[in-house]
Formats: sequence, structure tokens, C-alpha cells
Amino acid sequence: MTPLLSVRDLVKTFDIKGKGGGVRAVSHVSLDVQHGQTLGVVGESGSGKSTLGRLMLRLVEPSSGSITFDGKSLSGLAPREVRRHRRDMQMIFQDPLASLDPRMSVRNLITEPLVIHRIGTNQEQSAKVRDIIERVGLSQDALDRFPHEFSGGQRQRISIARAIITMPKLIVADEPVSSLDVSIQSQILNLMLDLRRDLNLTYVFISHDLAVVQHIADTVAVMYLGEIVEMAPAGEIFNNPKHPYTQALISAIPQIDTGQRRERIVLSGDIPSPQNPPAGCHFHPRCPHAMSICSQEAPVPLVLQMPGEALGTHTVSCHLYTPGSGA
Amino acid sequence: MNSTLRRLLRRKLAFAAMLIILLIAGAALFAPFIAPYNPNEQFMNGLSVQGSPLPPSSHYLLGTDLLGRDLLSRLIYGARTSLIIGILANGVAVLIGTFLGLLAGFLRGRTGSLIMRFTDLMMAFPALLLAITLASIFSPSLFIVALVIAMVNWVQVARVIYTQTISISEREFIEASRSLGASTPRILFKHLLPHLLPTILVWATLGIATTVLLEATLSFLGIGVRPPTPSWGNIIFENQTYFSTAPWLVFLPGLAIIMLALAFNLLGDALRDELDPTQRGRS
Repeated sequence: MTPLLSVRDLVKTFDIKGKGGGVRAVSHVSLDVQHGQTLGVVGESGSGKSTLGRLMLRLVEPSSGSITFDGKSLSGLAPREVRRHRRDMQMIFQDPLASLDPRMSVRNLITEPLVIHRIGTNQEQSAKVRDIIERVGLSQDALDRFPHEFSGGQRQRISIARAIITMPKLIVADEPVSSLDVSIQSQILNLMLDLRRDLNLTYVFISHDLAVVQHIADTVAVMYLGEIVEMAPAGEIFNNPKHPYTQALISAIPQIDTGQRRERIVLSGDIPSPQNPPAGCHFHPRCPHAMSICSQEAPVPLVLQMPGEALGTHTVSCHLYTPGSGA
Repeated sequence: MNSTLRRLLRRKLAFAAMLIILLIAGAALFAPFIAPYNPNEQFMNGLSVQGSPLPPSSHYLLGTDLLGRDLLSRLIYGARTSLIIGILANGVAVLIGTFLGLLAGFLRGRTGSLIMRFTDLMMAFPALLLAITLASIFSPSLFIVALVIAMVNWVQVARVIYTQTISISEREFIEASRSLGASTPRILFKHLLPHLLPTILVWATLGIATTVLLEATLSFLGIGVRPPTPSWGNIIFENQTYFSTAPWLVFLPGLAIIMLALAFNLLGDALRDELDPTQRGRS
């Protein structure tokens, strides 16, 4: 089956005014997102995960590389053409208060995508809006109010309503629950899971919070300084992390004490500046297993052999592993 | 819009402001019926024996000016000039400034900086000098004066709208509507403009005061409204030599300008608050 979204060798470099060169926010990323699946993208702030999400929707113009969405190449299209495709691919932002126009009523906010894409008559549109608002768990009287009158969780429900009303195929959610309380986070995650099932949605779920990603993702991609260092089915990533960076991230997830102590790997230092990334493997200055080759040669993505092939593939970019080593 | 009007009427200050504006507009509109005398007629008994203006009396309600003309009648007719200049000149200035500022702020890049460099150039040029140059090229009439003032006053509006546009277009809801597939005109008119409205309104009302004053200056220099046509500005300038002996001649038209400017400012403030759903109903 062909993937819904596939990106190949995607690069985005932001120019810095006055200086030569620039910041490479996303560097040679290739990945596929299958129909009905959720791809979790995790990484620290500055790892380029938000830029990757925006590149996938062509909200940011890629410097090079290709994006194929639903069998069509997005990267070659003129902006006007891309706009027509936007009804099939939507985005949910981190801060719903910032991403909802404060001067528009909830009704107008949710109707806007239908108006933009000229879907249905006025009556059909308002019927659809009434239907969708209940679907995301809000009542009808919410429609005549304004975003600032709602709580954070309710606002995110409004954002979700806005994203799903055109019945898109793909939704890129950029830290959709990071600004919410933990109790509200699970409500929103469950809503997203229900909607994925009911509307046959495909998600790209960007988060810095592994616990949240564990809950929703089928496949997880770990990003570090603009590169995907490890990508595998969610179960693999959490039970059998290979890359030292992933291992450190997983060890940092808070856990209920089950008696067995788990070793916490503490990384020293901060994420280096993407303007001047370290030579070789970008992670080597912070890596507990760094070898001499790590500072000289950049590792290439390596597909590991897995016992159950049906689960998908486990890819890792690290010199610790050589072709032929098992997962 | 009707409910906005109703809410505005409920605000005391806005209500008072609308009353004042209506009063002045009424005076301007019905000047021939309200004014007790012809504003340009010099009365034989309009000056004292020494030749100085008369103080307010039952005959001349607000006194007479330096040429023995009735001040009340001149103020009532002057409302016409001042209102036309104030609204027309400032309206055109706000329109030009908003258009160029929005364009520069939204397009940015080379076109944007070109527009803004031109604006800076205009700003660096002394406004009065520019107005004098323009006014001497075209023969002065009421509308030419209004246009000259607009040509000078749009610059500040463009600057403010430019920076506002940049700051608003960086906000996430603009990117969000782009991600929905909104076209550029839609983003401009449905999302940017409503957020610029408070700024535009403040300038549209605040600018009226400065416009009326600039008109007064131009009139004084002989390139504004031609005498004997009264405007509140040229009444002040004509009579300023009598400031110590007949202060009402300067004070009353000054008060009229202040009332007009204040009323428009208060109305603009209230309108801005009412149009913002997060502020609605607070006063």
C-alpha cells in the first residue's frame, strides 16, 4: 500500500541576515506516513520537529527534497495549487488561544474552512458546524461565544473542530496538548484517537513529551538537530531503543515505581547550535558511548533486522551498530 | 452594526461625544438658518469707539471680531470648513496611510522596504514646507487644502500601520488560516484588517484635531482657506493680536476645535472597545 504522505531527503535551511550560511533546521529527512496511522515525532526544542511538520504541509517552503501527498507531488505545485489541497491536510497548533483569531466567534472560526473551500450551501455549512461542535464535545451555545471565553482544553477542541470539518486525510498536530493540564491532556488525546477511528484520519503528532507520544503513536521518529536519528514502531522505540539519544530520552520518562530500578541516563550539556553543528555525528559531544569515529564521520541510517517483520522497520543512525547486527 | 450602535449609546462618554459631533454637524449643515448674521458682514456698530472688538452682549452673543463681524455667525459657518477639512483630509490621509502601510507590512521584501523608505523620506521632510509647496502649486480651494493636508498627514499612519501589520502577521492565527488554505485577500481583509481597525480608528479620530490645526496654520499663511470664508483656524489667527484685550476671540474657536477633537477621540475609543470582543461591555 502506498503511504499517504512520504517525504524524501527533505532539507530546510533558514538564511541568517548579514551572515553567510544559515541554520539547517531540517536535514535530509525521509519518512513515510501510512493511511490511518499516527507518526509521532519527538525531540528537544530546537530539534526541527515543528519545522518538519510545517514542511510536510508546505507551510514552509523546503530548500530541497520532495513531498508526496496522496499520490501527488506537493513540492512541485504552485502556491495556488497547494491551497486547493489544504482541505485534505490540516494542522492543529500548540496554543489554541494564539491560533484562533480572537475577533471571530466560534461559529465563524469553525465555518471558515468550509467557506474557504466553498463546501456546501449556507444551510449545509451551519448544519455541519452544529454536528462537528458536538462531535468534539462542546455544546451548541459555544458557537456564539469567542475563544477567550473558553478554557484551554475547550479551545483545543475548537481547533480540532476547525481541523476536521473539511474531512481531511492528514492532520499534523504540533504539540497539541503541551499547553494543557495533564488531566485535560488525556481527554484531548482520547478525542483525537476517537476521531482517528471514526473519520479514518492519519496523524503526524509532534511532541517533546514521550509519554504522550507513547499513548497515541504507531511509529515514532526521534529527531536531533534536524535529523531523524532513530525511527521504529512505537513498541520497539519504547522497549528496545537503540540510539543512545533515544535511550536517554526514554530513561527520562517518569514512571510509577514497580520495584525494579531503571537506570536514568543524564545527558550533559545543551543541544548545540544548529547554526554550527558538531562534525561527524551531531550527538557525539553529549553521547556516553562516543568513539573516535563519531567526531569524524556522520553515521548513515541503518535498517536493523527485527524478529517480527510485519511490525515495520527499525532504522537507526549510529556508529554503534553495523550492518548485520540484529535489533 | 445596529447592536454596536445601541451599546455605544449606553456608554455615557460615547453618547456625549456623539451629541457634540451631531451638534457641530448640525450647525455646519443648517448654518444659514441658525447663524444670527451674515458671517462676512462688517457691522457699523461692530467695533468700539476705539476700534477694538466688542465683548459678548445681547446684540452680539459672542462678541465681534477685529473687523466688526459677529463671532457666533463666523463660528457656525466655520464649522463647515473645519468639519469638511477635518473629515475629508484626515479620511484621505488614513486611507492612503493604511493602504501603503498594509501593503508594505504584508509584502515586506523589496517592495515593502521601497514603500517604507519613501515614507521615511516624506517624514524627514518638514510637513509645513511640503504643504506650502504643494499649496502654492495648486490654487487654493477647500478641497485642494484638504488634499494637501492629506498628502502630508498619511505618513505617520503608514508607519504605524506598517509595524502593526508586521506584528499581527507574525501571530499564529494568521499562519493557522494560511494552513486552512485561506487566500491572501482573505487573510488581509478577514484577519489582518479587523485587528488593525483599533489603530485605524484611533488615527481617524486623533488625526482630526491635528488636521484642523494644520488647516489653521495654512490659512494663517494665506495658502489655506481664503478669507473671508471663516474656518475655526483662521478665526484664531486673524484675531490673535487681540488676545490680551479680547481673549474670547481666540478662546472660543479654540474651544470649538478642542471639543471637536475630543468628541471624535472619545467616540473612536468607545468604538474600538466595542469592536473588540474581549473588551466588549467594559467601560
